[in-house]
Order: sequence, then C-alpha cells, then structure tokens
Amino acid sequence: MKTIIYKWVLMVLYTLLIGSLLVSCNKKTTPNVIKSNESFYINDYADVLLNATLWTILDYSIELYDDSSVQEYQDLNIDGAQIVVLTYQSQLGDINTTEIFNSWGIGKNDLGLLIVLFIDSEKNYQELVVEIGDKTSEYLSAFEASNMVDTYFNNPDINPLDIDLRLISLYFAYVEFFYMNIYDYDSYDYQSFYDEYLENQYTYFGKLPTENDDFFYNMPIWLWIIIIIFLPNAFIPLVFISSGRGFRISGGGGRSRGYWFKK
Amino acid sequence: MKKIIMFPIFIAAVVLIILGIIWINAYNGEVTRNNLIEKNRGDVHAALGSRYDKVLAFIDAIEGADTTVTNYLNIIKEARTAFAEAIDNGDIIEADAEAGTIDSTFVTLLAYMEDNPASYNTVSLYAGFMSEFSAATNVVLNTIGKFNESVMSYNNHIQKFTNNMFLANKEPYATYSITNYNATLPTFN
Repeated sequence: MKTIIYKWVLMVLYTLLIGSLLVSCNKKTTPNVIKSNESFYINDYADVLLNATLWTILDYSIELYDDSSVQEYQDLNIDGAQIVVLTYQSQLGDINTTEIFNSWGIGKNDLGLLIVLFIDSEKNYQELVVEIGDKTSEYLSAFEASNMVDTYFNNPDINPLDIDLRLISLYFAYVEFFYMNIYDYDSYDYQSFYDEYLENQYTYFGKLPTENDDFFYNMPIWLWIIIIIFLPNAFIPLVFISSGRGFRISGGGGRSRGYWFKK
Repeated sequence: MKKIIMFPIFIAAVVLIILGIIWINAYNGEVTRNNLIEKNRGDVHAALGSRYDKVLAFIDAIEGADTTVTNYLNIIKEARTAFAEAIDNGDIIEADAEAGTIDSTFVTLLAYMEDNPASYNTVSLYAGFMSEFSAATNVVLNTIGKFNESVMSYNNHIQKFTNNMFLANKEPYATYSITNYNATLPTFN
C-alpha cells in the first residue's frame, strides 16, 4: 500500500515538474516585445536584408563586443558594447523599442545601441528608430546620432532604395563612433570596411547560424507531450540537449531609459 | 476542563497571529510601494530637468525670433528657473506646475514655429535638435509610465481587502497627467 502511495506521489511530483518546465518554455512575453533570434545582433524579421548584410553586421558586432571586453575596459566599467539591428514589418507604435532593448539586455554596462528599421507590407522601408542605451547616451546624444543618420543613412550618394547599403553605411558609422569615442581608438578604417562590403554585397556566404534547421527549437508541443507520456525517462535529457544546443549569443543586461528618436 | 479553557485561547492566538501577519504584510507593502513612488517621482523630475536643459540649448540657438516667439521663450526660461528652484526646495506641487507651464508653452512654441517658418529659419541644425527633444521626451514619457505603474500598484494595495482595514488612513496617489506630451514632438519637415 505504501509503495503505491509513494509511486503516486512521485508521479504527481514528476508531472508538476514537467508541467512547470513546459509552462516556462511557453512563457508569454509582453505583446509588443519580440524575442531576439539566436544571432542576437541581427534580427531580420522583415526578411529584407541581403545575406552579406546579415553576416557583416553579425561579424562586426561580435568583433566590437570582443574588442570592448578586454581587461582595460572592464576596469573602467565600459566593457561589452553591443550594437543590434532589427528589421520589423510593422509600424512604430506596434512594438515598444524600449521594452525590446531592455528585455534583450543590449550592451553590458548599458553600452548598447539598437537600430530598428520599420518595413511595410510591400517590403519597402518606412522609418528608422535609434534607441540609445543608458550609458551610451553619455557618449552619443540623440542630436549626434540623428546627424549621423542624416549623413550616412540618408547619404544622397546612395540609392535610396538600396536599404542594405544605407544600413551598412550607418552601422559602420556607429561602430566607428564606439571605437573612437568610447574606447579611444586612434583610428577606425571605416572606408575599407565599407568598400569590402560593397565588393561582397551580393555574395551569398551561407546561412547564418540561426537559420540552420533546429529540430528541438521547432518541435511542436504535442510531440513533447507524447515524449512525456511514452518516454518519460527521455524527457529530462532531451530538455538539456535542446537547451544546450548550437549557437547562441545573448545581451549583456543593458538598459535604456527610453532615449530614442525616429527619422 | 483544562482542555476546554485552552482551546479558545489557542483559537484567539491563531487569529491574532493571522491578523498580525496581515497587518505586517499590509504595512510593509505600503512602505515598499510608497518608496518606489518617491524614487520614480525623482526619476521623472530628473528626466524633466534634463529635457529642459535641452530646451534651453534650443532656445540659445534661436536667433532673430519674432515677438511672439520671444515671449514664449521668456515664459519657458522663467518657468525653467522656477522649476529648478522648486526641485531644490522639495516643493513637488510647484515643480509639477512649472513643468506643466514649460511643456505646454514649448509645444505651443513648436506649433507656432511650424505654422510660421520665417520665425525659425535661422535655427541651425534644427533636425538634430528635434531628435534630441524627441528622445528626451521619450525618456520623460518612460519615467512617467513607470511612476504611474507604481502609483497604480500603491493604490491597488491600499484599497484591496484586507489591506484597506489597516490602511484606511492612507490616501491614494494621483497619476501624472501626460497631456502635454506627444509621443513625438511636431516636426518641421
């Protein structure tokens, strides 16, 4: 009799554990906040950017984070700068860029910058929002960031329809600003990086790490339930395998006080 | 006999303990939420002060303005000084009143300048200033949103049963009015 009760208690506890894990997996976020993808730095949800643009932003943002994470900057509490790009097929009021910035935690020590491109249903560029992290704003004012948008993103020498080149032009300008003004680099070879991008703009470099098929991530909830019922002993190992898989970059916990502007 | 006497005492003790826990929870919850409101109010005033510094920078950049614009600018400058003094003196009501004056006048000023381009065509780099004001306004809106959330949490806490039995003497806070804040300020383009 005792054994039966013991088994029932164990089963209830096990069910509760699994239930709580499933609930946490499906935790609903605030409606106007979207999740970052696993590349973190480039979130092309509107599906409008070229492959070379995605790779360029991913590579140079990782490099910026690594370069800014050396001991010298850790001692000054200015390590871990992150610049993130998001394209979204929607209008400005539909998503809250400040909540996105804060939920993604862009930039360690609040040294983050978020560039959001709003795209319409015809895949045309609508407007741009630049959200500046709390500490970043001590170096980069909205005034200056806005002038950089005018100079680089709205550069009359760039075809207005070439949203990739306009974005890269602005992106490198912000990266240069971080290196030169926050990390006191003597120089930053903006032009050579820009030229290199121009040479490779239409080259396909392969899928981003996040675009690779991810069986566990895409596994439907009903399949998880079947595993729980028929293969309960396999459930916990599968959860660990799926959570520890592949490529994943995350934010440094940075915050924004809502210091953003649109152009 | 002894058991008969002990039972009501036990029940009374349990009731007293439960009441004590409810009272402690209500009191501590009120203190925590009140402190959060004070902190968020400070953030709102800091954000407003920062924004008004930028308003002054904008005013300094306006050259050759007409009489109407000059009058608006003088109202803003005087209210800015009064706001800073009220904050220094801890006079929140006065500070909020001056904040209302600055913001309503500033929005009126922008609207006037939008309708009368000749008044602002000497303003250099106005697009950058507009982005700066817009960003500073968004910061204020964000802090006001957080303040209002903390006010709602406080008001709910003191009005909910059973907290209302212990906190009947506590007054609910009023939320910040954001009528003078547009999501984006008028643009000149």
